[in-house]
Amino acid sequence: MDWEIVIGLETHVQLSTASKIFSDSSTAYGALPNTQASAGDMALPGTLPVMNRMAVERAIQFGLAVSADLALRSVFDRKHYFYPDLSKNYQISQLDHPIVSGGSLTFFVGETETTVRLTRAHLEEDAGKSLHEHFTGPHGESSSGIDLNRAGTPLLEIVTEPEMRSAAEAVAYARALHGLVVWLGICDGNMQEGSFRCDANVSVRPRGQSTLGTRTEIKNVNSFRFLERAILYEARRQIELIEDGGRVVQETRLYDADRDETRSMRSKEDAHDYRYFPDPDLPALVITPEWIARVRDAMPELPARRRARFQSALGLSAYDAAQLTMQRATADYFEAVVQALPEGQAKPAANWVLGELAAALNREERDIGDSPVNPAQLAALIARIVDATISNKIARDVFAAMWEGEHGADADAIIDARGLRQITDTAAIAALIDEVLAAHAGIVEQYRAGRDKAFNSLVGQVMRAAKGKANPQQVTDLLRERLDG
Amino acid sequence: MSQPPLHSTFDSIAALAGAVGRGDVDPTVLADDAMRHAQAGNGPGLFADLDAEAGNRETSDAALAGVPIGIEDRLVTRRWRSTGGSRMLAAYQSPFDATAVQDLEQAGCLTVGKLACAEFSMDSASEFALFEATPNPWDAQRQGGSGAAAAVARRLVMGAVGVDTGGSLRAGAALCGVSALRPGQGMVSRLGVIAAASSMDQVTPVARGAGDLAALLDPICHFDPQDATSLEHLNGEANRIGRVRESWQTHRMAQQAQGSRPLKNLRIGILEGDGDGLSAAVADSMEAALQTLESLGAQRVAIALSADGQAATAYHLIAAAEAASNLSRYDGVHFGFRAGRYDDVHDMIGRSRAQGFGQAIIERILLGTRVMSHGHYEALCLPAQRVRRLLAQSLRQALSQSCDLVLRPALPDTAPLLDAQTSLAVRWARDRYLAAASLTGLPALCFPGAPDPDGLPIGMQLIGPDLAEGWLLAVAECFQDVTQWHQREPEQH
Repeated sequence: MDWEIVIGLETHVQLSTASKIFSDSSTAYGALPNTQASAGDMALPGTLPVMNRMAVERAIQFGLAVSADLALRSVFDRKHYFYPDLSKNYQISQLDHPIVSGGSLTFFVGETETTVRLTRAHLEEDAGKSLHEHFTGPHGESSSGIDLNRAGTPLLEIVTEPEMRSAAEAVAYARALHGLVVWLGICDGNMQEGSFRCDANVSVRPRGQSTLGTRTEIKNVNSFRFLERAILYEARRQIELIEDGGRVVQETRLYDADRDETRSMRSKEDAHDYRYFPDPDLPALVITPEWIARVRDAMPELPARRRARFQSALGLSAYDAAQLTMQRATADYFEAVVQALPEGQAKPAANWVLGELAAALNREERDIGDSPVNPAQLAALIARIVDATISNKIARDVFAAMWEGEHGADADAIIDARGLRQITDTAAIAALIDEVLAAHAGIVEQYRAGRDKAFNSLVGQVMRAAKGKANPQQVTDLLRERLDG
Repeated sequence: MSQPPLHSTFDSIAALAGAVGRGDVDPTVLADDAMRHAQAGNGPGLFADLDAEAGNRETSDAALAGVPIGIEDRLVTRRWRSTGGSRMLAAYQSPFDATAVQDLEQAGCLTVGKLACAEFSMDSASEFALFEATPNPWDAQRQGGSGAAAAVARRLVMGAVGVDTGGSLRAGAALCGVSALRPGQGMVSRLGVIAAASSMDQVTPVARGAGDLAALLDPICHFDPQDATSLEHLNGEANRIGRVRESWQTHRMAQQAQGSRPLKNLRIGILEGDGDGLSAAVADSMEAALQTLESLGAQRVAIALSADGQAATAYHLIAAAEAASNLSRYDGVHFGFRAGRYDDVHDMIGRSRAQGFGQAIIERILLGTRVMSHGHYEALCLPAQRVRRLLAQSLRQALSQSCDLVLRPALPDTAPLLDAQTSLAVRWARDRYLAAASLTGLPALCFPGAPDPDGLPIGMQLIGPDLAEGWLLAVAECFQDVTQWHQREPEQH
């Protein structure tokens, strides 16, 4: 049978505020356990939550960026469950009246443009962490403990409609969302530290069926690669289960990256009754249109807008423009290169940023911000191709040298030092051609006998004689002149 | 101790503060004397934590310098343990002071110690859990309801500040023959209140008479950005220190301008049906209070309210739901009581809660959990919220159209015996007069009316519109000018 996979994603985005969502303790990652837990984070008697307006502004920014509806009045609810790392034993979240509703995200899956609709995005607080390793109790004994440093870190939970149809699409969505929240500066995007966490709702159904199959929720996916593998594993598990005559049970499953499998965590039967009710400690969150306008005015140019500009003003293809605007740092880098070049050179700039530079960054797993070649240096290199000082091929060698920091990554210095300047002197090229024709009379004969390939071979011989430095167009022109003239 | 406490020889906080201000009394002497009397006069159900060295002894030239007050144990303090009356917090030390405590200390008050309350002030009629139940200062066989009210009645302190959720402090004041003013919701910061039902927890001063209540309420009644439900403004009026005092004084001056009929034109609303179920003594005291108010120029008008009949039930359902949620933090994991033996962390949480909470609280938590659970929320919690909204609407409407203030008894009868066995239904029914202020968030002042023939106190309650704290104080003070019930003092045992 032909199966269709249906995927919806719930993403927990840690908002990059200096202090927590309902207290003034720091959100910085990596401090000693419980050194960033205030009385409120510890749920000490008499403490009260106070809304951090910076978290609200980040939610507003997100809502504006995905063209969603912003609720002028949203409500915080308590979600109750007992767990040692949840100090109040309830989480402050938003149930029926989230701050952001609707909206959509457009991105490329391979070369196909896709739009995924969002259901909602709501504000909530993160829980603490249970520590089971490297932790000692008050008497030095090995013990489990609770670290509340993360408790109260602001989260924006972003939920999509169940309309993705492949693991690749889900990953492309997650990457686009990641790019957007980092672009907006509302999240640091650090997946290792848990700043961006995806849960996937996965179900399968025979292609053509309109009702949804029973879904499972996969938790604990902390990289794009694992997200893809977890969805692929889970879809295969569900299909095999049904084909073997079984039924999918609605449950929460945990992805185990070491074994590359998902395991049942809890089923719907023992699902929590969260006993949601409006938090009496927090009045409704009211956002004024003036506040929204102020936030909008302070926002950076959005990726969609920048993409459109790259297409219309710089003449890039939709695909290139989309690739360049996946990350704000990439787009900024690209624009800086374009700025430093003469007009009309956006295409080679895009090729270099998405090609040689991206490959080098990937190889070393570096961010573009840490690139050893800065935009001005890359532009200087591209300028030498444009003015025919070097060929594209030579330029790749020069780039490699720049990457290694040779001559302070100065393209001109490397070209001069290595004597890579292209030979454009007609007499010099003609002399080289004479040498080659004399040395390869056989190939010349083949050419005269009508074998076109022989011509390319001669061009190659001339280029070799020139150690790659001759201008290929000039060589071609002069050679034809000599042979056909 | 043969000598009465030095502070109790003054009729009011104003008189004491005046003497200190003029230099007639040395606040250090006053403090030492108050601490000694608190220790000597302490008994079951009074001071929960009292250490002669632990009181704030700094003297200042602030307005309330040297005025000894007690802090009900529903408010957290750094100086003493903060227990909420629960074994869960029997040894708990708070790293911060409640805002109200800070305010009163800053105003110069001598904070003497912590006063006993029922566990999270819930169901004071059944058991106190951590503390012994407070005996009534007028009859030790009977319930006193609140350590704060009893300590004021016994003159161990000139006033106290605590938390009134469903009426525990108003009821305590009624039982012990003193006064309490529950301010409007959002007027006093809840920072530092050990939460029971957040939407109804209200910091409330207790004192002998209205003038003393004004002195204790004014410094704590202001906007606090640390409490998200604290009001910065209400109906265009800023919530600031001085508002209550100024309003009280303005009303007092207006009264004085009316000569022998200071309450002329004041319409006192009496709820239809409020007389049903009152003991004869309370009904008589209510009638006497009305006649006194009429003799001062006020007139009585009959009013009716929607949903008031369901108020007590609605209160108990909402309070149970919020309490179940608020009390879920007491789990033996992070702080407070932890069971001695357990299997794993979930067992530890279960056992700590089963052993740390008293029976009455466990029943509330079970009820509240059920009220909030799937399927029951719609059937129980939402109708209770509807009753709350209806009542708030109709009471505010009555106060804006039919009458100025509403007079009700605080309780249907005088103090029950300490060992009285009453069903939950009967106990809930006793709250019918107290629930309205808790549910609507309107200010309510409880003050002593004429006692019963045996001398047991009976409390009356005036409820006013939003921002009426000063008005309530002025009317109650006018009543107290002519009755003096608030100056009655029980025999010291």
